[in-house]
Amino acid sequence: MKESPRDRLGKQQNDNQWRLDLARRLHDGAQQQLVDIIINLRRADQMWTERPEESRQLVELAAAEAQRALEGLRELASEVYPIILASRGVGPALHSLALQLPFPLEVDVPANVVPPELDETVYFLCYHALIDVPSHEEVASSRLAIVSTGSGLAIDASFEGNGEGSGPMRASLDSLSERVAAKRGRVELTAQSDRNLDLVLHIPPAD
Amino acid sequence: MSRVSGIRVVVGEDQPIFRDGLVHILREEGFEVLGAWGNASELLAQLLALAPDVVISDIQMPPGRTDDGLKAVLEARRSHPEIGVLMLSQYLDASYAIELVADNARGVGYLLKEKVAEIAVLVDAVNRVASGGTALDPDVVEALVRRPRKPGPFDSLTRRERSVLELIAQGLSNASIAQKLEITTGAVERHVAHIYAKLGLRDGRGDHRRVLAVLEYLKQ
Repeated sequence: MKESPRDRLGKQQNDNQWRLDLARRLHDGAQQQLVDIIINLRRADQMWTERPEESRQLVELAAAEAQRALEGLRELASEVYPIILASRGVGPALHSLALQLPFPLEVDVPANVVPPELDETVYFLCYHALIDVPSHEEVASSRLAIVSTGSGLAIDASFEGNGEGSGPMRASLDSLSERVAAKRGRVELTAQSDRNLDLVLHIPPAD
Repeated sequence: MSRVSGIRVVVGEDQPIFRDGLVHILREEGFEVLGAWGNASELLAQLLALAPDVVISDIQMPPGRTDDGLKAVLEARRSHPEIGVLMLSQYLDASYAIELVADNARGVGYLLKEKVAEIAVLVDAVNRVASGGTALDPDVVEALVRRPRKPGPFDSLTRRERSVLELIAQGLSNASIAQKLEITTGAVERHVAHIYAKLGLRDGRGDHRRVLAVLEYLKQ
């Protein structure tokens, strides 16, 4: 079964939005920081002999700015593609993601449950399920479990609410649903209350 | 800082400017640099041939450009467990550091690449690794300690106990922790006992065993 034109369009819109966000973050982040670094270093160079103390301060500023740029790029690079996914596969990559999320995440991914050809698909769908769907300030903790079903994989993402939102926990499902549909799967919202948000991603086997 | 350390070092790094800078710093600080290689397969062959006291290597290296450097080093350690390992990395996330310590915590270190410019930090890490100790990057450990976790025993640690826990995870001995926090070794021992009791950790003998126990707890 091929992906339908509608699925493909949804995926492209998602990808293009993602590219735009990425470009903006690079532009406002590391690019601007590198400009500031160049300016500070050039100014330091110009006043090196006459005003050594000020030059030294500018060099220090440049070093601090370079450190911030490095940290920003480090974060961005791991979002774009965590190297641990290429070297160790989806399980270790999800455990690594758990160390970086703004809320606790318990990962239950038995070894070999995800076929290697689905490693990347599953990782990025899990990533978007965790990042895009819930409202992070409402989440107290979360759990991600992947099981093999007769007809592919079921990715179970559940969020426990901290009760600070008004009404049921918010869920932004559009972009995730499009991504999952592009893989011929579907998203099922199984619980949505002020304390719980549970979804299951049904992923068919790879072609 | 001794300038005649006699510690024999091999470097694995594929970026030429960084590699030359690192070799220069190490020689300036009195380490004997046996050579530097920019490809993980060559690095592995050299480690087996030279059996240095310490290898300082980037995790990500050719030919595969994923974690080939780490794999080469772990492979070399299987036949030469006495080689100390200091991995340099761009990853703040502790996964690789934990893997390294879990493989064999004796004589292992993990530093973010930019720490090479903080010469005292680099020299301290090389020395600790060479003498069988553990040296994990303070920023990597801090990120691990500060990450959000479910309510639990961790919340009952006092601020001082948290600082002690961080220093244990970095691989410091009780004596070094005492020096750093300007308290007595006896006081550190009491903090350690409280931390172990509160978190339900087993009393791991040996500094490197307790590093692993603490890291395993922190990543839960």
